[in-house]
Amino acid sequence: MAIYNAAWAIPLLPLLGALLSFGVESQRRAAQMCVVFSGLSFMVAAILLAVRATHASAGPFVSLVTFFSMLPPEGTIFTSQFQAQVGIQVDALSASFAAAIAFATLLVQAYALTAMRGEAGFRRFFWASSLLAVGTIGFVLSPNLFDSLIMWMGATAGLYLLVSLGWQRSDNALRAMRVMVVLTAGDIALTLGVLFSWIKFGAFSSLLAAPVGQTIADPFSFNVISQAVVSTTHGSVAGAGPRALAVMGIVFVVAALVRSAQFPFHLWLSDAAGAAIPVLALAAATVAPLGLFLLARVYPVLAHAPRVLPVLALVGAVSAVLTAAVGVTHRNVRSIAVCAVVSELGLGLAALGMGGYSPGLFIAFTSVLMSTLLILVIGNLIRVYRTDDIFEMGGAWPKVRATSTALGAWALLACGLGLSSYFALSAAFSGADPAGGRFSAPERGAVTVALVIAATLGALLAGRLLLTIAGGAVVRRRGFQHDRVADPEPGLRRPVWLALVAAVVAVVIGVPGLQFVFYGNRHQVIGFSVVAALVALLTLACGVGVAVLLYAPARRATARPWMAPWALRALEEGLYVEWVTQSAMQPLLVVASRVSSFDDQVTASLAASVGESADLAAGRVATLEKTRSARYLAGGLIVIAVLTLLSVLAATGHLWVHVA
Amino acid sequence: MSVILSAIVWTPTLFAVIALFLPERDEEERGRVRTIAVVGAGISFLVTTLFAVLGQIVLAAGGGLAGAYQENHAWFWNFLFRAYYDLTADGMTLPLLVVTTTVFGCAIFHSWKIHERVRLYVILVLLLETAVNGVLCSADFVLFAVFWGLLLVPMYLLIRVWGGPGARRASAWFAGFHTLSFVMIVATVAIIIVAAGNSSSAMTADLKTFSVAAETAGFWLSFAAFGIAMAIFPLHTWMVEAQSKASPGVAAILSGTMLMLGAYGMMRISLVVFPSAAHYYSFAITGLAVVGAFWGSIGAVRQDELRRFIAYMNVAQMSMVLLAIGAQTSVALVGAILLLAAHGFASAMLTLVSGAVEERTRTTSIRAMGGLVAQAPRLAGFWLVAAFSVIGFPALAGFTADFMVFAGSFPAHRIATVLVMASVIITTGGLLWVANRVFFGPPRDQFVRVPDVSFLDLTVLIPLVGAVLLFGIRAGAIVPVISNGVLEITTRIASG
Repeated sequence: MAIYNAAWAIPLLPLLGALLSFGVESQRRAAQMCVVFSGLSFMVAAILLAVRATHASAGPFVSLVTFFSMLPPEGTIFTSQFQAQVGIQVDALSASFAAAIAFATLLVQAYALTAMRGEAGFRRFFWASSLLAVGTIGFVLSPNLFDSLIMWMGATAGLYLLVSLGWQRSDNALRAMRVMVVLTAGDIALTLGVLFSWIKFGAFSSLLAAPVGQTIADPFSFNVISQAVVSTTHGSVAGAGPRALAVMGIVFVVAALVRSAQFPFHLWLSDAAGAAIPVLALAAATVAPLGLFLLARVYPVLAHAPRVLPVLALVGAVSAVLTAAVGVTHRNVRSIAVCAVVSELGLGLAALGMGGYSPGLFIAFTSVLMSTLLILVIGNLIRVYRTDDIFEMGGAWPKVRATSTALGAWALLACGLGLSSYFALSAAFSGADPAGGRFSAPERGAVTVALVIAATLGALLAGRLLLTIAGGAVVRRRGFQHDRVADPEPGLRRPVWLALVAAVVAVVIGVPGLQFVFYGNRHQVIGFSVVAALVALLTLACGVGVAVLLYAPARRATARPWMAPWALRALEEGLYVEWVTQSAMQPLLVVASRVSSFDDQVTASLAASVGESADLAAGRVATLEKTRSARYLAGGLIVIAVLTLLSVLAATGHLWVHVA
Repeated sequence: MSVILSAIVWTPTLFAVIALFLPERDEEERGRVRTIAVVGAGISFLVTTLFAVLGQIVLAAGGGLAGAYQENHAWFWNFLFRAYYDLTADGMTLPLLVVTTTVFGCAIFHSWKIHERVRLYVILVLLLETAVNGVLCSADFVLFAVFWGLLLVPMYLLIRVWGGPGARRASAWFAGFHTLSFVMIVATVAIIIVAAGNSSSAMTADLKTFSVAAETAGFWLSFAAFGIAMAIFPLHTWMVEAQSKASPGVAAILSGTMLMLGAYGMMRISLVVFPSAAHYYSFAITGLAVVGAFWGSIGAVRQDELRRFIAYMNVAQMSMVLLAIGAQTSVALVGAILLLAAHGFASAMLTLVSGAVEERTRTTSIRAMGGLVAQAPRLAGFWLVAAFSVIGFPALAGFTADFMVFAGSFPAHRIATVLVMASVIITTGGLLWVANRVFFGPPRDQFVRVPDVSFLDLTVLIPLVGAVLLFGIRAGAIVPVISNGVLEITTRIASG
């Protein structure tokens, strides 16, 4: 359908906004311009989603532009044309995620208009966030792995620019660098996956008929990769077998784990938490879910690669447990939010790993809007209470009614009403291997146990956050006017309300929406699991119950010491960002010193012997530093050059001397 | 008979001759000398871009196999064998000519910051440009060696006369290594002519198969000669010294074009003339690439001088090119040419920005800098653009280059490719850490009056940014041109 060509506008409109904003003198006008273009981008995305919803079962619409192309002559090494294309692919998955990410970007930018007013880097935030939107939206609309890689790396660069907004502070700059380094590791993993899939499936793609309007079947295309995987399982792709699929699956999983900030790669999101709240919101809501989206796109590889899916499920579930546990021990509201987001995405990874393609994507989709809601809410709370410490807040319900209502809504969704824990558990109980059969009982058992713990801790985390902040009275502290605590201005409240509505709508439409998302050429049949529902309710009750027991206003005084048990505290220390950074940096610096001193002492002395003998031979040239000698030298050189030129002209027959 | 290539090569010399007769007694006269030099370099750039490169792009876009520009003139040596003044520029050469003419143009604009012996400076830069373009365009081994020899004196003087403290030592190291390199190239040419039993030194001549001993000796001699120029590990020390002690404009030429010539020579001579040996020793080449990639990126982390840091980054980047040369596949070699172009622009930009920073802060120590972004945000922006290109971010020149190098090398040497890819993480950290220490952090009192980029800086840096963007966004236009040029190498390797 021709209307789908409008999908090009979804990533390009924010880019246009960013570029045009440079031509506007007023900072505020430039920011508004970016917001307007993000709004237009969302409108186009929403229209396309609506159009797509009317014929969900139709094949994907693909529009491509060739970035570069060459035909390598070595037929034995490169079995296909090396053609890299960029473009858009509109299907149910990309249409829904593009709309969600565009909306999240719009909300955060609208929020930042007020939240970042007067701050250093105000203007830079808007164009950089628009560039980030190009990367994130472009990624979900990518038709192939090459385009995905471009957008994925573009998002990395955009995020670096955002996290380094407060670059006048050394710690901000250091955080931005760490974010970039960790994400670059993920970029490298994805690059490897892209290369490996091309090398393995290039020959297969060259056998396929070229789609209409194309010269060859794009070897990086998701569709071609999907077909190649199936053929590989039948042993009909030369040079590719289960081992190749496993290697490919592992590198894609590593790339996704880094991007989704799963343990031990959660450091980048923790570092992003130190930046301004809108930056954290974009990182958590629009960048982190891309890891799950990548896995959804390459799911055929994971599904047929031996043992990759159960490992993914276990890593996701364990990461969800660890981050939720750490979140429960934190006092810093930003860190708690990061833990909640990562834990939620861990549930999604576990669901994907247990064969729950649609449930995993449901969690990723709702996470975009729930994360936006959570981070904007805590942004308002930090602004109102002027602290990041949740134990210095309190009494939000009577004083900060609107914001605490939104926080309550988020807590209910995160406790289990958002259905994340239900869908993850349902996938684990079902344990249906997409390649056929079921996962083994130990695999399902281990993942289920981890998920139950993660869901309980997640509910506890949400309950603790809500009860500590909303319950009781405002905590008094020196220099803080507790009686002036009130909801922030409308410019900060409205985006929160919109995010709340969007998060609820996402959950409500997400359940029937499971049938909108196709795996292969059909949607997954998701039956209602009574056991999973009961267990999810049980985890909700346990988590909330423990939270009430420990953090109800009446008990909070006695609860605080209890909440730092040595085991969890040790865990937190073990994951502590600085420690990890130092443990990685110190050996590198030691090796760098060795390299540097080796060069200075050994290699340089060898070089010196060569250099100094030349110096001796050319000792007289030192006199050239005197102007007169320099003139003579320059003159000599010019004479030589002129003579050479004349010789050349003569030799070529352009002078009177003719040389045969 | 076409004289486009001769115009590209000799126009700078022609304007050097004109500059020689101009006085330089006051600033106005010095300005006239600089303007003449800019015109000379500019004509060379325009001829390269408008006539040579665009023509090839149009040909390649039309689907045809764009042929090389050939200028067959006549012999200039006829004793024992014939050496010809033949010039050629195929797909491999043309993008590199764009880099050299751009970087030399920028270096001559940079001469507005030079106030002593301006005439000699621009004359030497123009002569150096002739030598560099001549090396790139030579279609005869002897002519190649002659132009290679012509590089030595102008560069030596440029480092020595206009360099900072320690320039004497750095220039001596440069002279020593490049003399060695020149001698080895002459020896290689001798082997080619004698051992192949040719009566001609033309590169287009039908190269006969060498004996194993001649092939091995010729390969390693040429590899070492070009390895020195390319500053690969462990032959990089001269470059670290020269890069850190030369004036910024000269250092930009050094890192932007001289290293590139080494890689170009390695592809043009070591791979094409000695394909069997190159194939046989490819494992050793990739091994050197892996060590160099880590050596450069890790060594850079500990440097306290901004330009020594850039020098080590150059070692890491050249190791990626070496990886492609070791892989010897068409995709990798196309990527290597693109990477040379990308590195030429980005490295020149990093060097010029570092020169501007040193000029403003009056220190070369990274430790003594910091917080410059408050006063010089545009300067920081230029550094980040160049750094992002080196890291290989999309829409910048480094992305397509890195991707093709890795894609082409991966099938040939998987583990080496993965290791070199891993070194990119350290490179990323190093580049951003330096950005943190130089530009970011709280503003310092002593730098409160530091100005942001001047009009002159913009004149020098904006063309480089434009080139980085152009090669990044329109890589698709240039790849077919390069792949036509690379075809000769891969054909020789396949048949050798």
